[in-house]
Amino acid sequence: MKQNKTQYGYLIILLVLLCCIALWSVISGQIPIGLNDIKHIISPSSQVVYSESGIKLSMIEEVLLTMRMPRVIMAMVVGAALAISGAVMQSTVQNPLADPFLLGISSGASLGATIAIVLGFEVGESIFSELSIPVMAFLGASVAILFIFMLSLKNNSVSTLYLILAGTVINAFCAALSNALVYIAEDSEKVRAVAFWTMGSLSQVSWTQVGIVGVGLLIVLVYFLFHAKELDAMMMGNESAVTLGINPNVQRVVMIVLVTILTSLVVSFCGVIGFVGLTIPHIVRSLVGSKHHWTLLYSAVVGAVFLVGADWLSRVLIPQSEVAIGILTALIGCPLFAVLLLTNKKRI
Amino acid sequence: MKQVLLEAKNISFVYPTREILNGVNIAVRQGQFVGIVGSNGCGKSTLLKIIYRVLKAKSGQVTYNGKDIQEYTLKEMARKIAVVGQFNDTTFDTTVLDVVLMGRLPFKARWQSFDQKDYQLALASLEKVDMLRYQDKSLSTLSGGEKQRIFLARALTQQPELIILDEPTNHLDIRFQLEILKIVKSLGIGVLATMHDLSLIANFCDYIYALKDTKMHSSGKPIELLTPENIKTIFGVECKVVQDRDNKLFFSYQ
Repeated sequence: MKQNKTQYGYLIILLVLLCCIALWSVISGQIPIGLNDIKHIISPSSQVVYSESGIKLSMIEEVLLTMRMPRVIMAMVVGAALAISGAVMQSTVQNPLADPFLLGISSGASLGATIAIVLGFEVGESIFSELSIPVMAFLGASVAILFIFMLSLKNNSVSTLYLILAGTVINAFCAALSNALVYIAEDSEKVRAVAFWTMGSLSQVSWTQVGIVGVGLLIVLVYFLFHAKELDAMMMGNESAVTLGINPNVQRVVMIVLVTILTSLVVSFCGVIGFVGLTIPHIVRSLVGSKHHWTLLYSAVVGAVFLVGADWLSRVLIPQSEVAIGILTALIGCPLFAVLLLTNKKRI
Repeated sequence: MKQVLLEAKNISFVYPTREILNGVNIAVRQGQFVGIVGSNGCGKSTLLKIIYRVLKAKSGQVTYNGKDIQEYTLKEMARKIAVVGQFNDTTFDTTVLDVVLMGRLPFKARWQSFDQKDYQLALASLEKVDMLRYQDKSLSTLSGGEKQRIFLARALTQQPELIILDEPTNHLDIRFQLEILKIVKSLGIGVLATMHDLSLIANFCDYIYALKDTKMHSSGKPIELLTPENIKTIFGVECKVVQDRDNKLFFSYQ
């Protein structure tokens, strides 16, 4: 009981840290924004028209409201979504290597988006062209997971081992198809679009997209927290779960479907951002243990901190340019994971 | 005679490549310690798995208190039957106390967290298996035998009416084999266990069922069933059985 209070205490500290990093990320970038500028935007006065750096306040306001804020909030939401998806995936399939990417969900989404880009679905003014990439990504992910479930059925239940194997196969197949499409694409602009998308980007997010992924995250997180104790039992294996009164087969399918929906929403708007789902849950478990109530809450917050930080770096690392966020998450995530492996080895 | 708690009637089971069980019947009465014996691969564990609903029988019926087990929800079942299986590993490390507390899961609604009573039961169970001082340790740092005791503590925390033990003494040294079986016996609840050690079977079981070639070979009290002839048929070994004045059995293998 006392331990719970400590855990909540650290969580609040992390949330405060998240707010600080988010605020820092909002005000830094190619157009500098001061805290005073934000104050003037919130309570406008007729005497102050220009920002501290001499840019019109109306322009600063536009940058803040239509670019920086949705981007930073999306980074938080996506970081949290990918981290909890990874945590749940690892427990439900009882494999520490599992994340939505290993299971082929994101490569299915990638394939869908590549088809949309290469075949030029997104060209034009209609609603369908505007939504073609997200819709195709979502369809790609859904078809991929459907195939994975079909391949992993054994004696009328989903085998965790087959799930991983089927995911690996579908992953490789979708990646090969995407590459083939890029290879035959004539337009170099399209090739660049696909490449940028497969490396992940938060540069073109809108408030609507933030809203959609945010609501998705909220629903899925609440569901997972509600089933945290079942996840604890499922972590001990199928038989153990059954003898504790839990049907792991039903829960596993429901949870993987929820992870698929959440991941494909993320992938459809922001592309493939790897390593968050794999590394963050492991880092969190090494700090707070593997009880899912805490693993999920901490993964959400640490994932958000990680991605807001990575997004900030992606914008400021090279002046006048932007590094794809997927590159940074891998570049930061891999060494973090290596350090974790080394420290765990010492402990054992 | 006490009331029948669990009954498996005419159970058959086939794997795609071979038949495992063919028309097997067993029953466990209240407070009775029942053992299932047989050579490796004779279907003992499969029979237990059908009873605790990890596998589905091809035909036959399992009843608990006279009602088909399929009519109980898994959660209702877990409040009555606890299982100590051979599946004592976890994907991610967790503390001993957290594992034992899981025994209270069947009694909790989703929104309920563990309360003082749950903690007390978990700690008392850990004390019973002499593992209280390990409560904050990681499960992965324990030996096979220690893990086995932790999973028994988890089963005790479920406060079951019947406990199923699938080769419970596998990883334990002689002292703990005896201690664990004494603990289980002292609970006074129904026990259904598969075991290999004939001395332990003779000492602890009230009644035993012997499986041979997918079928029920024989059943009875240990003193009636564990004869040199039966042991030769069931296990394929020559064995001398000595009975002392207190009707205790001693086995000497040739």
